[in-house]
Amino acid sequence: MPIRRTEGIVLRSYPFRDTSKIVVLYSPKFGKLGLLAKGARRPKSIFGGSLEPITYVKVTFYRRENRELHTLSQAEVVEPFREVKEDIDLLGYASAACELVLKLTPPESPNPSLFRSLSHVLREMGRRRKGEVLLWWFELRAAEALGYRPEFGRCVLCGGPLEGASFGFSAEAGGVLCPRCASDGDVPLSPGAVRLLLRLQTLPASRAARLSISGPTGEQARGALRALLSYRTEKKELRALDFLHKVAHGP
Amino acid sequence: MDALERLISEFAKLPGIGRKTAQRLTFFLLKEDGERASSLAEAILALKERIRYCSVCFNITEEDPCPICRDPRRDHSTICVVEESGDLMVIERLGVYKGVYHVLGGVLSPLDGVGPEDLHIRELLERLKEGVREVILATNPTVEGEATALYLSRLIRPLGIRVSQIARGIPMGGDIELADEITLTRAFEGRREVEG
Ligand SMILES: [Zn+2]
Ligand SMILES: [Zn+2]
Repeated sequence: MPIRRTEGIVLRSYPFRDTSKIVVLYSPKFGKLGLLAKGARRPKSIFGGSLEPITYVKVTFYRRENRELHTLSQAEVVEPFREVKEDIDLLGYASAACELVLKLTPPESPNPSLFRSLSHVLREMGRRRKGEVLLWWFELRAAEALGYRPEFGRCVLCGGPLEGASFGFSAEAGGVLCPRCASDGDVPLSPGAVRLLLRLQTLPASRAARLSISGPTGEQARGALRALLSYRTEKKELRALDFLHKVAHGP
Repeated sequence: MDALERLISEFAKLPGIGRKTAQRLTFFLLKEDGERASSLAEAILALKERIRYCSVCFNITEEDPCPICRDPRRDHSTICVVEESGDLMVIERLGVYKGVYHVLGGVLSPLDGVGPEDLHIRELLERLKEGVREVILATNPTVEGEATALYLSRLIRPLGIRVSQIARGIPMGGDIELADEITLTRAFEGRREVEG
């Protein structure tokens, strides 16, 4: 069994057998990896808090060919993203970003650009104390890294310029549609909402964090992103978004 | 499905039991005399028939309210909040805690979609109306456990009730159920008021 080293972000971890944990790590080198951490739930475990979700770690593991689960031998925390974990809403949005990676990536298929965007968004969420707008930023970066960057600059069907007062968004077509190409089933987008999505797509996270997403413009952009996500996840809602609804609703 | 396959697949649904172990258990029971099998079957049925949740604290119990909630010698103005009944049992075994409990039935968990309404939080807030002076949060030192503690302290502190948190001695990632007695006793004694 060859020994491998990599950095990565813990997407989630769950108890396994009596004292162990299974960790799903997203790494730039190996993509999404399943790791078995023996004895990790014992309070004196050598892994400490390094296997908690939303933690940037450096790990050493034994790679087992053609297996879904490899054996973790060492882990150390590089960045705990503490600010994100100390705010229940930020925790929800950061979890949603991790859940996206869990749901949209196949196992062990490396995508360094997606990894960079994930580490970036978690860091910026904590730094800027912004959740939803940065999740949107990440959704668009993830779509690009995974090969389905939605088009917001011109009509995705006819290639024509976006002229008029209202457009449509179709996840299936892969972008915004001009008034001539749009049909009733599309998500309505105002010119302002298209501009907002275009800026989210092109600005760095630190500047995207400052964009306003309130009011009808934000509502339409939210609708377009929801349609994009639902299309890509085959209508599976993100559990973390459900969690955020419940938190807003109270006990 | 035949009887053999049926039992194997039932065992395999239990946590921590894979198909191989399920087979081993099934063949073990097959070889044993009938008494062991019927005693196991009875024990499982008795569990479901007699054990229920305490209507006050949601601890598992054979009588409702549970013996802890009914005990007049315990301090009913202090409530220790735990995730599961298993945690309560570990704390009880230490014998250092004299208050009562509240079992949440889980933790807030974004990736499982578990929100406040899915836990016994509303019932906890109801109990706080009856002369409670201190709430001790004893959730596990995990991201979810800490988030739950934070959420609860934000709800409870405005009510003028002291909120404290244990688990100082238990490092992040650890499990209360697996903590040794000394560590857990220290964690209890060293509880601190939640700030913020
Ligand atoms: Zn067009
Ligand atoms: Zn009770």
